[in-house]
Amino acid sequence: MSDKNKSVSVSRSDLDALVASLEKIAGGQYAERIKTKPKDAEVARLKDVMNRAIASLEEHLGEDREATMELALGMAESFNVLAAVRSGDLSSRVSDDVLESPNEMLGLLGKSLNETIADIEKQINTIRRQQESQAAMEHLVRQLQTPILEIWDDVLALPVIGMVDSRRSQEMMETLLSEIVSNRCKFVILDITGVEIVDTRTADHFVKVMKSAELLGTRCIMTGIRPAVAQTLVELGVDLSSIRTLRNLQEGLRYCLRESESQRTKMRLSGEE
Amino acid sequence: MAVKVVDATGLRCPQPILKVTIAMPEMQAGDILEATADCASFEEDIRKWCERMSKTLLAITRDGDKVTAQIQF
Repeated sequence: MSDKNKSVSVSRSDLDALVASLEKIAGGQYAERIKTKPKDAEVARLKDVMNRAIASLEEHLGEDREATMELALGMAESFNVLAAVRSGDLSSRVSDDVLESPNEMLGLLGKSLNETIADIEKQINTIRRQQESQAAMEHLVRQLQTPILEIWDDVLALPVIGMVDSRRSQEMMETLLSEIVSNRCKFVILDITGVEIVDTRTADHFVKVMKSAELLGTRCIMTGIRPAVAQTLVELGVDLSSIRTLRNLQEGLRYCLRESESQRTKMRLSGEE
Repeated sequence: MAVKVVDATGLRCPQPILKVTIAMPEMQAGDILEATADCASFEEDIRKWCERMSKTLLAITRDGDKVTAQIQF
């Protein structure tokens, strides 16, 4: 009789122990091992093989779990970084745990994510710098549009060139009033030689600028009204009666000097009295 | 300070921690997230998750198979 056909005897207690262990393993308890000691050598061999198979299964499942957790944590971290970036935190990056992950795909994903965020950050910084530069340029242009010159002692001149809208007139007023206060000047000449077109609103802006300056105790003179502008102002019915107007800047300065001298004389005389 | 509850019972590793991850963007600094799961490895997983995400694990409580983790954001 060959060994292949030889019968094997298993005791009831060994069989019960084998089944009980296998049931536990089937239920997910992979740390379970068959502990019974069968008397039959063939059954003992079967038990050893089964224990090795279970140990191998446990080891592989453990490795799989570690890899799955690694992937899940890497995904969670990447998701967290994306959420932070979305809420405006451009300094957020995935950590070396992701970049150096044994999972090559995860590492590449992390690297790609970090590079993309860095690119976005770089582009935003470039746009910010451009916006700052543009704002500085606009500020400079506005300053150049409203130059205020001290053309004589106590005399400021504000030459106006081009169109005057509400924003520019507001800037003109703020700059002029600030200069009047800091220079303590007595006269302001608003020279509009460079203004070719005037509408009601522009004229209104000029009147407001001059009246505000007069509230600070300065005398205001408007010079350089072009014939076409004068015609338009009359046609529009703009009331400039409260404003002293003269032909050009030269006449305006002459008037200021004359008035200044007259004031000094009056003060001298009142001092003598 | 708000408290958000995430029920991940019946889910197997690593689904519970992914479910917690999905809830993250809604959380504000100081908020608390209470996550419950009955997966055998949940406690170990959520500890690793908190460490990796730099979040504070306030408490772990057990009720039979269910494990509840309190996480502060």
